[in-house]
Amino acid sequence: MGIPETTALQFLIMGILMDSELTGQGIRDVLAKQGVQRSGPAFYQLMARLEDSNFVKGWYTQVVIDGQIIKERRYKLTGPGVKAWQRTRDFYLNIAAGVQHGGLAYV
Amino acid sequence: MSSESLGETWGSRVTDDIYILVHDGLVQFSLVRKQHNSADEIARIDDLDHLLSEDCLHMMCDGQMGEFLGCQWDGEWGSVPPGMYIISPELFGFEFDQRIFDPNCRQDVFLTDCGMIVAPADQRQPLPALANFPRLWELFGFLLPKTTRDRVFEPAYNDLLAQHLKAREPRFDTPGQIRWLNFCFFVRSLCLVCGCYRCLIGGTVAAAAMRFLPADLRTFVTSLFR
Repeated sequence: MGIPETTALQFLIMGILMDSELTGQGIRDVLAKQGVQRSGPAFYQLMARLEDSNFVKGWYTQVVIDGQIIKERRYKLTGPGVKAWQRTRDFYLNIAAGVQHGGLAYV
Repeated sequence: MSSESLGETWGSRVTDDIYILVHDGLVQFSLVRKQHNSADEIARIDDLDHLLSEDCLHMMCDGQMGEFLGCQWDGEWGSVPPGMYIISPELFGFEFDQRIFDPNCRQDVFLTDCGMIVAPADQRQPLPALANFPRLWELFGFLLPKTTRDRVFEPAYNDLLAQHLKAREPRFDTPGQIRWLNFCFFVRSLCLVCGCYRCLIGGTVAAAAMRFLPADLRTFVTSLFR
């Protein structure tokens, strides 16, 4: 089993998107609850990289607030994203199991 | 309803049968039968005051759209200077939300929400001088390369704009408050552009540095920052 393809933060975001699609702001709100603070540009750059990796799909929807049209970026997890998340989860579960059974040498 | 056939027209649904349209920046009141999709089948009301008259109200309320089409009112379309108008639900007995009706809105608004009726002339409120200010913030994005603008600035900017509008909507409506909010969000949008540059420069510098790394190390570093 190789090193996971996703970083811890990507793993967290993909986990958030596992249940349903969310807006960028929605994801940031959940991240904030988890104690992860990211500026808007940093967050959307991260999301753009996830999109480049084909782990998430992003698109715009339009909402009208106070008579103005706002474009909201929404994201959902793709099939490859789900598989990458599962591989990462399995990797860490294996590590954890190995540690519990006497050390990483036994993994 | 085909937006192409109506040029720069957009509108909003009042009830299932009634739409209000704006054409070339002018407010135009139209009744549209939902089951038809052609611009030819729009009944036009030639005057704002006519719309607000009892006869017209009656015609709209009793649902006699078929008899109304094209025969009761002809002549020029009515027009109202572009600006912001408060939609007044009490004028008609319909169930709908009170909304702001802004003829300067783009066509994208078309049919996205329901419930707009224009208030009588004496209730119309001009657009506050700075209300369109946020649109200027969008221009900051053009300081950035297109890729960064599309990938990073645009979604973050729209989040910022949504926060701004939500902050302004319920509580702050005097010119001074709006001006202060605009200033705060102006500063935040400048910070946003700086943040985008930080991402851009970070990415560029990192990409340049990566060229000097051995392939294995490059793969490792890439995996860290993916």
